[in-house]
Amino acid sequence: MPDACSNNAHSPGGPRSRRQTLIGLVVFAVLAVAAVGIYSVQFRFNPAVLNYLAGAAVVAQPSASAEPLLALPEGLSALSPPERFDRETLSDKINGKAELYLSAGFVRLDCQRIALSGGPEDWIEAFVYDMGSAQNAYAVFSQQRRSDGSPLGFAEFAYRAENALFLAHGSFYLELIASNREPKLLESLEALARGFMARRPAAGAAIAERDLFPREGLDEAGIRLIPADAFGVSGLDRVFAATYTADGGEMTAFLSRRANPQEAADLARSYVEFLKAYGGEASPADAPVGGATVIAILDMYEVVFSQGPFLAGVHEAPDREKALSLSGRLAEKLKEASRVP
Amino acid sequence: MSLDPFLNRREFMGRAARAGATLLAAGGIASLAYDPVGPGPISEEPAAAGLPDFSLPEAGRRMCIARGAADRSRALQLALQAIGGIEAFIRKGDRVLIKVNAAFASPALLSATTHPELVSEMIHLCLKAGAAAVRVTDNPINDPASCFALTGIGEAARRAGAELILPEERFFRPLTLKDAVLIKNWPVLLAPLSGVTKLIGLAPLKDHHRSGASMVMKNWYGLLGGRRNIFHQDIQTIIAELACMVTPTLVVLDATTTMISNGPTGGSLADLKETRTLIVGTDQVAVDAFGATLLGKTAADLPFIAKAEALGAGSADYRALSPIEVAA
Repeated sequence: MPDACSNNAHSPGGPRSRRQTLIGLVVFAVLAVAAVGIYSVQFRFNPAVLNYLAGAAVVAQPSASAEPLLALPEGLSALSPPERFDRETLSDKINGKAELYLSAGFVRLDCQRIALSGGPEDWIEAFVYDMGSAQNAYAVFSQQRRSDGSPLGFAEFAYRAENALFLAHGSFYLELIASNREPKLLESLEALARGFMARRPAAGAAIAERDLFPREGLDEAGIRLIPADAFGVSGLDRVFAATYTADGGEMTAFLSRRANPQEAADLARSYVEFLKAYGGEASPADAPVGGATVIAILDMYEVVFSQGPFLAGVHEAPDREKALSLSGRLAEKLKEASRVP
Repeated sequence: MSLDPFLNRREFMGRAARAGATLLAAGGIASLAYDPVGPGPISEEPAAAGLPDFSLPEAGRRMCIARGAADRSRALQLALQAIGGIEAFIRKGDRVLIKVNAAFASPALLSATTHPELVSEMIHLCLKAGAAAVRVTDNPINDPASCFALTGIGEAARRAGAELILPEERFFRPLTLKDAVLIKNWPVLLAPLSGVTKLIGLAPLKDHHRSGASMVMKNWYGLLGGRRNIFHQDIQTIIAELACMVTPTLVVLDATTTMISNGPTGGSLADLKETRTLIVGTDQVAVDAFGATLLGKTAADLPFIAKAEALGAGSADYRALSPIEVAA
């Protein structure tokens, strides 16, 4: 007859069985951890390996359409076939500037060179960026706006520079860049832009936030939409910024519509914390804006507040009074907008 | 360990056989999946360990800033004269490679690429000094043939008597830079350097959306092949490593007209400013440190300068070189 100990060792719920089950579970757990580890590590390639695997296979694709990219007025003809670039290949065309577009929601770039008939040295390169939305198109248009631009009457967001034309139309951002100052070449820029708009009818893009900036002292052409990392702050995205001139000094007002008032308030708090982390000295300022914070940093002043669903404030003001005055006017406009359902 | 009194010999043998078979099966499957070699390099050739050193120790660290430069040819001549003349760098029989910036298929008017007039003058000076041959090359972002044609660099090089080398896949070889984080087994445009005794970099001064500035050190980016755009995620480090990889004989930074905004492509003449300056030097870090000031920045604003200095590529303190200033 086996002793009690032997019986225990072989009974289904005995101590040895439990120990074996436990050891089995530990082994399975170790194997599972190893499997997860191998699975995750296998995707972390050395860049050289990635390069080896990808080779030089990723190249610009010819445009899907055989048609010229733009309707060509008389006297112009295509100098090169249309080319297409996507998010993967955009930097093959514009190198370090790709990030500007990618951060703003870039979808696709089509481009083509067009020359004066009989004058192959006189050419225009057309860049048609599909940015996915009118606001995204406005973001890249406004951030690159040139100081010498003359507004064009046929579109709200369009201007001519000495050798080029820039236009935001619907979800598209168009650049037409001439190779030289040949008058006939420059004359054709507007015809090409008009033709582009006619071929792609789009409702006038209402960028409502533009109207929320107080008018006095505002440089209207300088209102820009920063899609990401505004003022160097990670996570501060979709920020409209406008330059104001007052008594010879410049400062920037900003606003960003968030999903709800709580998100706006949270973002205001984190921006204040960011400024404090970089040496800013914060002080509350209940007038003229309730709940605002004024931060003195690097001999300049920042004001940060939230108003309904808006994060707003003033950036790099030369003195505290001017910063608070502009903040007060901005808060009034935002209060009105917050009341509108 | 005690023997199990309920396990007989037959049962033991059976269990042992099953366990052995399981081990054998697992080992067999693993050996089938095992790749003893791993992903290989792009070619069967071993990775190059680095580039030759093209600097001239006897030339020392020299730098000249030509101010008021409107005529690039004249400015280049004057700047070179101030630091000993082209003969101090190019000797009879030298085979010279000029690395230009032909990154984009855009006209010279936009100053996004090395100006053809500067290319032409440098070739003339090298040949006049006795160079046996001069080559011009770059691996542009856009289609190479279009880039060299539309920038005017190709025509300028040919007319001045240089050999133009457009990149082809077979001209690249993998290179591993010692202690590098990024340049490991990476394809580099090495064939144009074959037989070369002197290397000159000619770069325009530009704003750069990603790195802050594109100057002489960033110009070496055009020696990289493959999917180099992945380096944009760490552009400050790759520029510093490039400066470490390339030890040129001479660098020229053309700030006659500077792209001060919307770089590196620009597009509008409004992006340009007449800064009328041309810098020639043997210390590429120092030349870039001075170039930063023309963009309204300091060397501290451009992290790749400090990184390159830390890697031993040169000195960010350009004043320590006592740069000679000349009126052009």
